[in-house]
Amino acid sequence: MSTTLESPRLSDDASAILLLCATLAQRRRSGEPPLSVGDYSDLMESLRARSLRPGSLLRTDRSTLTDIVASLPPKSQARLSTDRIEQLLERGGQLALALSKWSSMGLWILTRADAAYPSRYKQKLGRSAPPIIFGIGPQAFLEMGGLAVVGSRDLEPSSEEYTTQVGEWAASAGIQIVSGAARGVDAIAMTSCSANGGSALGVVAESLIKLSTRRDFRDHIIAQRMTLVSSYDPEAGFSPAAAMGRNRWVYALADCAIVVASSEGRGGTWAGAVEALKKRDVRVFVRTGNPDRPGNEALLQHGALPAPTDLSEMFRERATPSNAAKTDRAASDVFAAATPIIVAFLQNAATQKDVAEALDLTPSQAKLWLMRLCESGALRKSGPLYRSVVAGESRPSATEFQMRLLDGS
Amino acid sequence: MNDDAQNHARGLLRAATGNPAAIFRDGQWNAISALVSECSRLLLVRKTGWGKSIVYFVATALLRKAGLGPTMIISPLLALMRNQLAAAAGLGLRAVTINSTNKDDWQALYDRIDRNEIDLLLVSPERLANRMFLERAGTELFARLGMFVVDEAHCISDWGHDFRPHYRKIASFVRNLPNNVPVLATTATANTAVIEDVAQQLAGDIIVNRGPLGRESLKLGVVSNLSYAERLAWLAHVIPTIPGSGIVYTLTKGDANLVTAWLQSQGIEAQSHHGDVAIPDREAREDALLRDEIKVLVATSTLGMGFDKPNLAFVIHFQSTQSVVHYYQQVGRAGRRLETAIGVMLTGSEDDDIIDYFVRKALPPNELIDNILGRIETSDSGLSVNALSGAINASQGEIEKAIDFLELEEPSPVIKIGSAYSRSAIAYTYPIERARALAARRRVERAIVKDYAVLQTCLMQFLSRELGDIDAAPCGRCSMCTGSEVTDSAGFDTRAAQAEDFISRREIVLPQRKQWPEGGLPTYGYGSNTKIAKVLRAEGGRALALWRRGVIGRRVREEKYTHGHFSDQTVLEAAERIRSWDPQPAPRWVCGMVSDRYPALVPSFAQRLADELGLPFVNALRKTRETDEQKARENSSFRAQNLDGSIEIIAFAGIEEPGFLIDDTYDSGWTIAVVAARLRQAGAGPIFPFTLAKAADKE
Repeated sequence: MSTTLESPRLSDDASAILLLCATLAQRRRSGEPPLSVGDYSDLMESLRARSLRPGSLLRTDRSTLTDIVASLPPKSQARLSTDRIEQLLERGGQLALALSKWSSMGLWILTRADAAYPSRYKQKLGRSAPPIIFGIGPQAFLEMGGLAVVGSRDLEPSSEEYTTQVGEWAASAGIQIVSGAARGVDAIAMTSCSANGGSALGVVAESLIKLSTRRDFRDHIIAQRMTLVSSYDPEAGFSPAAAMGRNRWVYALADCAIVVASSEGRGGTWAGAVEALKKRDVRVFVRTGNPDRPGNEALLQHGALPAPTDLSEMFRERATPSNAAKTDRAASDVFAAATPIIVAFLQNAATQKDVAEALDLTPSQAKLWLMRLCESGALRKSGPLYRSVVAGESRPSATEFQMRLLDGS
Repeated sequence: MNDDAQNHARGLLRAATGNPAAIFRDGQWNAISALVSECSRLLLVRKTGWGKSIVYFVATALLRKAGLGPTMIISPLLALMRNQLAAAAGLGLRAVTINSTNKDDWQALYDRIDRNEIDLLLVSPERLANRMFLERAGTELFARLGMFVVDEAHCISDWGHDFRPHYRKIASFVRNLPNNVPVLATTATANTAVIEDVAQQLAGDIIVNRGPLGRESLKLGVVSNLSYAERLAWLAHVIPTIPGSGIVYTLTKGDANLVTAWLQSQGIEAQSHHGDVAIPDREAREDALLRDEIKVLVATSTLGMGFDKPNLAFVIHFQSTQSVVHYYQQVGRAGRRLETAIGVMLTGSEDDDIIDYFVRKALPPNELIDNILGRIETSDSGLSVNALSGAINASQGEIEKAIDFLELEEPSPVIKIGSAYSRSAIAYTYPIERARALAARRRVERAIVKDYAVLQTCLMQFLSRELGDIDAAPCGRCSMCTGSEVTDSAGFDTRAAQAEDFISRREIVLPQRKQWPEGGLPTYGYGSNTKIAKVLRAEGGRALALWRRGVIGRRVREEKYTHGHFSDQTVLEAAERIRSWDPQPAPRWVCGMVSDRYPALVPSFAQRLADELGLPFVNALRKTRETDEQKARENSSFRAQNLDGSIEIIAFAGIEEPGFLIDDTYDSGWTIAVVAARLRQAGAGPIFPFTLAKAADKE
């Protein structure tokens, strides 16, 4: 066929989740509001108890739906009437319009029912994990963890320079930058990392579509060095509430975090850092010794660690709260599954690009794993070529590798 | 579905058809039931007249009865919508359309949609992309869309014969509709490859439901190897012998105009129908044909889907088509409710050239796309089509087409904000493979038409099989099955000389340029997009012939390129044409265009023409620098700018009188517009252009 479909159909599960939770056609004057995360989670639990999936709602008659609603916890029954759910599910036309528009702009969508939904969100956010993620750029970045960089929009020169250096360091160390894609620290860290060949993941609190056409972001996205995601309407404008909600997601997607510049006791950076420190699911470092930023020093009182001069030490330390340990294990599980496949493939020497192509990895993911395997001694690198150190069976075809990667994951 | 529903549905059918004994046709009830009770996605491939609309009307009625939202029907033509509205009303459905012709009613219609008082909304595919429509009607309607119907669904496939870019958006919309909204797509003409493509684009799980395509009333024939004039003679001879009215299809607008004028000159009531005819005029002419007030409508493919005249007596192709699907679609308009109808394809020696042009223009060229994207990418706040056309050597139409193409790519490398296009965050490379495959496919399709033209077996069977109806048997009616012509053309060639004469004598008017192009002509001080002052404008001119059409059209070309000299015969014919034209105020002098490439060609001709007309020939023009050949310049801006500062006027006595400006061919009209303006500024009186040939307008 001459026409390749860039946007295959959504699953029934994903359709149902979007119908229930997405803001569609905002200008509509009447009609039921979409479900909050909490209400959505309640509804899902009620479905699960009946061995139903979200997609079952597309073919459920009214009486079954009434039964489902009746089994909800009393406090959510007040909000989740059968009529409201029916009305939301009837929005198929609006959903199709929105999806057509979004997919023509290159956006992808992940819902909580999708296998590719980020494991970090599931583990760290649980019931409050956003039902929908909109994104543009490589999806695999969601699983790559990395360093969250947070800080103010308005920066003094020293913070600006420091942020640039953090981005450059991350690129050279093969560590991803996770940030909020806002003006100031966010944008500087992300673009300096991407511009130096690293990968950057931005969790945006304003229009995903508009931000993605910004020239400095756009070129990195096209070059597969940057991903922007959002759980807000991708066409909506900025709101302070969205910016606050977004902070939690930035911390959730990273392995550890660094606060470059914070006000004391107020502002999004401060609030986000304090919340993360309270939850203890990532280690939070803070740049110290900047007299312009007393807020930074104050964060130390809340449990933040002073950022080391050698930033790579942040990733070596293992004095971790329990949640972080869990995350690390999840990430290493994927790595552990991939290791024998990569090692077997590299019985004949190959470049990073060969590996990425044969195993269907993004270049940055391949780079990351290859570097780790070199460090662990499983691989040896000479010039651009990687080769496995242990001899074994002969090299299977690339397709077989892909199959095994799927089976093993 | 239960018997109640079926009884109710049968009642609706009987009301709609006015026939108290009507029962559903084979397949109709199955389709309705699949849509209503199983929420299916269905692609119905059935010949016109089978009753596809009954399926969606009855399904809508049943869904509405069950409390579901209204149905939206996407249909490509207003003419079709008018018929549909009337038919829906017959079933008690509240059906409306929102389109450019009923703007005054929009507010009331939107309010009715809000109040859930509409059962069916019919709109064009373009409307579904209209922001205003989506914000106003879309929100309420799409908030509870009961069913979605795509009429003429073959338009979705760019393999199809009349791919409409906006149908790509429709396909994307359907793909994204969740499975709790039933979808019906219908078409009467699509070959197997197109159906597969449509099904895939609408989503893999669509159910294809198809039936036989043979048309029982059509008598098909083919007439090959006639010259242009002979084909005109054939038309004039044969059309009056066929009872009833019909359509003659041509490939280009220019051919449609010429054929119309010829038929009119032969006392046949004919009207033309093509892209240059204003839409209200086109509709009026369609209506005239519907009411048999004219004998024949001479049309290009603009008279397309949705024109439904059940008793259309004949469809004759003056030139052969691009594909058999085109042919089946167009010839299939004849005889839907008649015992017999005639479908004849004439073939011409010019067909290949014209179709090759269409094939080459099917997708915008790689260089143009790269050029546009490169310019958008480096602009800070995006670029409008106007800004692009000032910067790029391509016609405005080509740039618009290229932008349309880019906007409809999935995902699209451009995003429109206001009227400016910005680059989206999408890696994009021109689909070379797709373009190559498309062109290759079009050539194969064309080759099949040529097979059809020399076929020695049943013509209808061949068409049906090409369209995927592999069980089709010989029709027993076509010229191959009966061994005799389907029309009475004996003696037509007695008119051939007259037709040749008609082509030679036909008055061909040269359009006036009225506005300077984007970018203007800075050396001459003609501003970008400004009006050409009336006192600088050339008068409406004349041409002797259409380029390559008829004896003169062919001779002009041969004399220019083979002999490098226009014959005395051509001079005599030109003089005769000018005398019958007799422009006022009468010109008092003759000057000829100068050219770097053919320095003597036009001046020598103009001088002899001046002698023949008894007027002085003046050497009024001099090139001050070399210019590119105009043909090599693709758009207005570039063609006009090519001439900027290149012409000098040499003053002569009597310049203030009106004069003739002679050139060999008229294509974009810029040479004449610029030289006329220079002459007028140098003090000349009104300038009357005359050329030997005018390029035929492609559709």
